[in-house]
Amino acid sequence: MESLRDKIAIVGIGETEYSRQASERGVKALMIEAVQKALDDANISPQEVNGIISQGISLNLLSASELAYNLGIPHRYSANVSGSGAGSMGTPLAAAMAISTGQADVVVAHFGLDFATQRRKSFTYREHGSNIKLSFEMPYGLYGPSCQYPAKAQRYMYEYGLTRDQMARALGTIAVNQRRNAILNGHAVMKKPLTLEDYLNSPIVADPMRLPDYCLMNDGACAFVMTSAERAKKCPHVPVYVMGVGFGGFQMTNADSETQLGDNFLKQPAERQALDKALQMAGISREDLDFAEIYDSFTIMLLLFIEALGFCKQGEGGKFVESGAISLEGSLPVNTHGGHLSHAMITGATHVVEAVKQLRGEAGACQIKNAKIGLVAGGSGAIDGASTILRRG
Amino acid sequence: MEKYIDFSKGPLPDLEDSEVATFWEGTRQGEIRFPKCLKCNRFHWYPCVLCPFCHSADIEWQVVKGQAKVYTWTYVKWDLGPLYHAQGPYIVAYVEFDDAPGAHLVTNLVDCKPEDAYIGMPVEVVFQRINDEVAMPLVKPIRDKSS
Repeated sequence: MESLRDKIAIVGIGETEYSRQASERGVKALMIEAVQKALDDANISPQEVNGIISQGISLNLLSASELAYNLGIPHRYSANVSGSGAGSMGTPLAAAMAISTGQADVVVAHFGLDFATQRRKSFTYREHGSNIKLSFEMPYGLYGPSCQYPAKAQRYMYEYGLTRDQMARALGTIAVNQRRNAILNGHAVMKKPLTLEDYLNSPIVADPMRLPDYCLMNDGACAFVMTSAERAKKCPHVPVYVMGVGFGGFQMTNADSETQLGDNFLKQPAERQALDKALQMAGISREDLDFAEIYDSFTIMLLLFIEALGFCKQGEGGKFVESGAISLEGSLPVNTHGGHLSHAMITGATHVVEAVKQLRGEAGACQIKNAKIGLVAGGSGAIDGASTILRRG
Repeated sequence: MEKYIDFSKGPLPDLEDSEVATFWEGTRQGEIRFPKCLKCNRFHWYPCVLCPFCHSADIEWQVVKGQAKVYTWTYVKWDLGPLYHAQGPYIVAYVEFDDAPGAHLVTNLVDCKPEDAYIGMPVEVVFQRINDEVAMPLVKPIRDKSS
């Protein structure tokens, strides 16, 4: 099959405000606003859009048909890529397939989250639709990833022989680095500086994880627009080409997720496969990446992803991040906007938006000099993962 | 019977779920049961229609002895949901039974201070009866024989 490398480009991005206050307008209105902004950014009208792609959580909040109805999009192609963050990170593959086969000319990917609204109501959204989780984990107070990831951090210390202090410094370095980036970007939810000392003095939520180890629970929306490489040249911004996309998977069920991983408990197995496939399609190696935007619902999740993606050996993520490698000045700047931890949580989609800004040279105070190729990677970690490699045109 | 954990704010297990009814039937009788594949002799958890390792349908629930080791754990000190509302901080542990390797039961580690918890800690099952229908398995440390 002919490669889909560089066949499409991201030509428009749009974001709403992100807030930890429940949105008065409701998340649907935010998602529609993000799409309008992305289309304006691309100088494309809603009538020219004929494909809509998203991931499961976002589509539950605003379906493709409802988006189309509101904006007058005559869509004929729609797809749900995955229920997890892999669906945000990997949407460009579904768009590339649709555009290359003539199913669509312009594809919009829309994302939103209403965690600020939800947290007022119930906790059951954390069950991930699994009756097993509801029966076997939640009665015992294991409320989804918020408790599963501390349990991973505990096991991480054990398997790799870290003291509590070493674990805290590794995770704290990630939290501090991303807070710094968030404050620099100017649009982040978190605006208060965080030092390592602040981190070490912050309260334990679930041992050994502290408050700054957790992602934001915000409302907000973002979107991006994709079209053929040919048409992209006529759009106002420098095209950001989709060089490579890869997906990875691991044989387990939603019920098993994060508690029944056996020997893969700390290995995020889906993610490695995804990056290898994306690199292969792009025809580049890890060393060619100028930066990486990596799914980070928790500091320990980011640490595990950095290891799984092969940027350092397993168990050495702490040393890697403490060396300064992931800072804006480092060898592989990571989550240049502050990520889910300090910028905003929209299931990985803001990571794509930030990568586009970096490659256009529009990342302001967070700009990586001469950024030409960037990686966006992540997903559920256990069940599925996706990697997308983007390049400046 | 001693009350270790305050489950009053729920949720409680869904006993109607036919896939796992056998498990809760077991706990009512003071037993821990896991599905085991009779073809490859491996336990798996959670339940699966076919064995996730060899894909055989020849699966049987087997009773395991009550001794296990802590695979990992966390001490929840923050208001993350109803169990905290009911009783404040608690330890949640994943435990692996000595005679059912690979199957991790999520439960609460009770009768143990958080500073004493560790991975590899030997534990034994205790049952807390909620009502006629539900008995929740918990684990507590195996100390010396006299305790």
